[in-house]
Amino acid sequence: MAAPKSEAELAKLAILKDELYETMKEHGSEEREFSQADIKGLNVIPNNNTSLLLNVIQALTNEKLLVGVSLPGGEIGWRWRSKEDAKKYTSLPDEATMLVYGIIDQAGSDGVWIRHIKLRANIQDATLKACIKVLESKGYISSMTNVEMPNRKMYIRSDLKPSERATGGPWFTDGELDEAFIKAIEGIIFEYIKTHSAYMSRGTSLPQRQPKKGVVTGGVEARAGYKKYPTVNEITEFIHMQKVSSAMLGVADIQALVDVLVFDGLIEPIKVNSRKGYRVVRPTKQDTMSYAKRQQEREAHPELGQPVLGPAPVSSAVTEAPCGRCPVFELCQEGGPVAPSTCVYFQEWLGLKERPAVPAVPNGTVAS
Amino acid sequence: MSNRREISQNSVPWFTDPKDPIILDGKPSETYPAYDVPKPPILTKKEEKQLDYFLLFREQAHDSALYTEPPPRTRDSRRRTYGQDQINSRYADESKATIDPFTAVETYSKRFERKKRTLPDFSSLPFAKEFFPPELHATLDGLDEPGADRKRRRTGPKTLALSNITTYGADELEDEGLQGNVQPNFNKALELLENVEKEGEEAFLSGEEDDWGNEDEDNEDAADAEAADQYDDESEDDYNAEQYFDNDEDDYGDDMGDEGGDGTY
Amino acid sequence: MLVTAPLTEFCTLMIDEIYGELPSRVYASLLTRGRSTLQQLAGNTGMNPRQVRHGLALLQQHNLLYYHLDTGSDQCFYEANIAHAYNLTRAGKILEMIEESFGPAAKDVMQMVLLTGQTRVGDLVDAYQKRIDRVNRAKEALKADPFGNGTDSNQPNGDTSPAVKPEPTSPSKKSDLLISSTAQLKTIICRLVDAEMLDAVHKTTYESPEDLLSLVEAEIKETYPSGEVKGNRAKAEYKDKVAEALRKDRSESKSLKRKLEQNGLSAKRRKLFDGAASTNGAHDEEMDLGIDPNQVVCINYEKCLVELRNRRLMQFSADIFGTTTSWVYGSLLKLLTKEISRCRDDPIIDHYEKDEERPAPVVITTAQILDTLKTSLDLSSGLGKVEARQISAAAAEKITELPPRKRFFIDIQAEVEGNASSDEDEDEEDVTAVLDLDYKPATTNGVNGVNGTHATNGINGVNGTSSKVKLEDSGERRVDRRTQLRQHLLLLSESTQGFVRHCGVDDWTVDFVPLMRALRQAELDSAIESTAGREGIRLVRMLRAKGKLDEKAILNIALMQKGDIQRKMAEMHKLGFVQTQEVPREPKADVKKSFFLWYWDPDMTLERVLDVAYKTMIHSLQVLDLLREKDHNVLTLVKRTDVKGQEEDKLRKFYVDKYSQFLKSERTLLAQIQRVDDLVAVLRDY
Repeated sequence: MAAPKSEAELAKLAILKDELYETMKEHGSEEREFSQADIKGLNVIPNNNTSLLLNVIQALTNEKLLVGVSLPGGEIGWRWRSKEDAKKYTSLPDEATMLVYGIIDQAGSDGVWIRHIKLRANIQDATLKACIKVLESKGYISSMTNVEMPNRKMYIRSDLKPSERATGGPWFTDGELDEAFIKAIEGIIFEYIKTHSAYMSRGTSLPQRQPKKGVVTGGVEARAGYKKYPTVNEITEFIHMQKVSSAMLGVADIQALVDVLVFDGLIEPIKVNSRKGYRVVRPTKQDTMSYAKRQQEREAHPELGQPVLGPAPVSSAVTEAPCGRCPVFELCQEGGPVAPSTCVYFQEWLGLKERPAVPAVPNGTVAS
Repeated sequence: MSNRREISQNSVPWFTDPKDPIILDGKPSETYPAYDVPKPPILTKKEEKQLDYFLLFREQAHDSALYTEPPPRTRDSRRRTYGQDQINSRYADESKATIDPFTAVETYSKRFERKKRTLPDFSSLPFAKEFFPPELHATLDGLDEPGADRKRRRTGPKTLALSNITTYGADELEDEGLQGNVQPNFNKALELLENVEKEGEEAFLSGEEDDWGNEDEDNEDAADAEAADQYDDESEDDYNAEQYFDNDEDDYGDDMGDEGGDGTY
Repeated sequence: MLVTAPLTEFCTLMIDEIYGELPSRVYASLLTRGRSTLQQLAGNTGMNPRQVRHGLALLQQHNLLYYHLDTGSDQCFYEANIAHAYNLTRAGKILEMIEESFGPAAKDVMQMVLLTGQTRVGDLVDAYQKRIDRVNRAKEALKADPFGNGTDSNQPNGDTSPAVKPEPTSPSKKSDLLISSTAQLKTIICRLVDAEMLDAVHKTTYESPEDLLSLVEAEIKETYPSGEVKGNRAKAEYKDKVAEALRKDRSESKSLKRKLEQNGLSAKRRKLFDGAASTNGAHDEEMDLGIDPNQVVCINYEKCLVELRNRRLMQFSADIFGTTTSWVYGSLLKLLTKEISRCRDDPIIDHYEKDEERPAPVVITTAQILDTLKTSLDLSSGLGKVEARQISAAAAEKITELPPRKRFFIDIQAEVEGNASSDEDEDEEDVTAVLDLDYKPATTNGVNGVNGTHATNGINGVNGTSSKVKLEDSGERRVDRRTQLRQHLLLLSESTQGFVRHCGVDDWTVDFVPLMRALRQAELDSAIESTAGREGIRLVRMLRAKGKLDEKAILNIALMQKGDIQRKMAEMHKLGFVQTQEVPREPKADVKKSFFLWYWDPDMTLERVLDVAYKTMIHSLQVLDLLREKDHNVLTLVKRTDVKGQEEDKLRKFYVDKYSQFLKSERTLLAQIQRVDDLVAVLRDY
């Protein structure tokens, strides 16, 4: 394509350039991808002269105000870019740095792995490093971590917040799973479900009757057809009202935690008519203590092995005997070095021998 | 290409996070590494009862004429075996090799020890022979003897009897006996105390291994024959119920019978 | 039953524990070598044929063998009946169950049969008669010599004198015979036969299932032209015929029961059950239905296991709903299983080509349960007290007529994805009743008596909250027992485990197959949880709900640290609780480039837990063996006839202490075997 020659032509080009840029901005966000037909439809270029149009676009692209994209059909299209962003490009020293920045820019809030940058830009390690250095010093980009791939060195535009996919959502803080936060919310959800499973919801308004001899009552008593088992929507609402977190916890986020509680075997989904709620499992084995009090107690006595949430799990006959969790179970056989007849665990279990002199040392600190 | 490897290594089961590596200290592991052994569970009343009944059932089975008590185990009998021959030879060894010279000698107190049987004694028990293969019928009749053509001598009545064993273990020691209706016979206790003490010392002196030998088969046969003769002599005895459990008259043939298996389980 | 090496080892040890070394050696050979002849057994065990014959005879007497003798042949083949060998472990449980259901006298009889093995009724009657005579004579002797020391002077010096004297006890004790007449004994035998706890031994009792099948097959094939079954229809028909013939053979064991029924058992059954209810088997109405004294009976483990399963199910339901509901459930199960002879159907014998020919599941009505419920049971406990408007009668009273066909596994994924809770039909019901006291489900009009059943109790219309408590108390008594009973049943029907199926307005049944599957899973879960912790079970349940997942997906769902997940997964992989599948990315299947999916395999986990269970039981017996070796001296002493029964007086304290410590350890070890067996039963037999 021949370059424009005359001053007049240049001036005309400049006007058309501005005109096209502004018109495109009016017709959509930075995300919108304009095909050639779209641009012709803007009616900016006189007579829709294709070669003139292409000249204008080329000029805008050179100024980084337009970004070429490939459209689904294989056709070329364009997005506009804000002047501030464009300025960042034009302020960069060389093509390579621009290229690198372009790749990071394109990746958006997901960020991009440095290896992928290298591959796509097809440049040397040293060059890439230099580019990154420049970009970082200008404050255009910053490194980030992706929870899914925490070992990857990733970069993101400094002015963008990493996407939820990259951060892992509200349950992550700085790319780390916020276990304390999760535990706290889990506790609230569990307590809410527990106190809303039938009987407990009535709180203290009903006196606990003296159970007949031999009949152990306690915990939550259920009733068939109870239709107030909390739904995820209700739980979410409740959490909002508690104002426990500055983060916005959506229904999906709460559902994720509810699912975990289901997997933990603490609650179960129950459908009454078409309403799907949740209730505690083994209701009669639940304690009626307040959450705070129980937590205090259980944290004060971790040696009792009581879980913070829910009743103690049903014990299994295999782990009541030494064999169930025996560290040398696979080796154990009569006639071998490890055998029932020489087993120290069984002796200890039966109370025939004291625990061996060298106690279990936590964290590998070796007693001399 | 190299990046693909990285991706895949992340998801293999044995991948370890470099931030959180598995530390190997290079020391050989202990035979029995430290392990937080659980506590035996506390049994429910029902379980205690079930256990009582199991133990009683076992004791009564041991008291049967069909019971063949295994010789005392030794460390050797636990040695690893390779193949059937070694297993078989392990049993073969036991009878003679494990005789303790100190206790193999007949002593007075030995008469109180329970006689051991190496073969079930079918002679005094009734059987529904129609449900046994013919090749076992002679055995059930007590006619399965090595000396091919022995005279038929076990023709006494074959009768079933109820077990005399009514307690086991804790009940005997009555530390938490359920019924506790076993009244110790103090006179007898005193009279026998001396013998027991003597026996105790002998056992102590003899070390910890077995202190009774295994009768070999011929002796057993002789004993059987003897017992059978006695049996025949007294076959009109109403209380031959006791003989169901032991053919040794010296020990068991009292005329009153024990408490009977009634009311104590 | 999957026969694995640990199972055979345990059974061998158990036979050694109960019946001694000789039979256990024979049995070990049968288990490892399979079907053998006498000569082969002698060769394999290195014993002489005479020893082997003695061992076999003992095993056969105790129903531990199958044998097969071809007509005209004198070569007999023996096989181990491993199920029966394993069931020895359950002797204590079975006896305790018999005692609870049929009274101590029945337990005494059962114990005798268990000890004897196959027992001729006449021999059993004689044995009891002898004891009765003996006690009568002792009573007379005691009358003559009230201090009971007449014979004491004879011993212990006299060489041939009777050594052990019965301890003097009060005459009243003497007369406390559990079974005081043979008529009573016969009544008990009748009752045990009627309840199928005792079976008749018959001609094919000791044919192994395989032998029996080939016998029946051969017989039926003969009826086909040239002995061949051709075509699909004929094959289906043949399958049915085989199943029917096998069922007929199986019913042979119930021949005695049928005979008793013909002799008027059913007329007297009513009274029999009343007798059973009064536990103390005192003196039931005597009835002699003419049992042939030549009849041979043996214990029917299959039916005993049905009873034990009922108890286990009660236990499960108690853990979830409390004891009151579990008692209700127990009553239902007892009624329901009266006609159920075994826990699991046999795939061949219980095969029906057409579903409509399959016997319909037993259905029990509310009234039947009410009639058998203990009157002392307070049905008002164990139910949540909820306002009526919070209850959907339609949901509570939902009737499921058909059994679930499909897999029962509570599919969490489907549930989760189903819908994020639609809160519809919230206010579909009346808000009239303040309290739930009169809440009465649709007793009138079947499917959904949505409204109108909250009966009009007059007083209850009061809405002052201050009087609530009083109303609660007075009101509760007015709720009739039947309504309360239904509440418990509805609760069970609503359970995710499927304890009960509400199959008609007042009809209830249990679908045992899906229920047991759910409970097996519960047992596996608690085994996993107690081994790998709550995080372990979280991951397992997740895989169960979602299927195969790669690590990234797990990370997203489990909300656990990556390192924790990897450690836990590796640990559980080693334990056999989770499995991995390698998915190659390219045809060359380079491991380094493959990615891995984690998944949960119920069968593998079950096998693993069973394996640990068997080994735990083996190890317990082996440790017991070691203790016997260590305390050999004491144990020899206490077995001495002059010491037995009077250990504390005859032994030095040192020995007494040692002995009591041994007994304590023995109890602990055997108790654990019993508990592990509870697990095995759920996983394998129920």
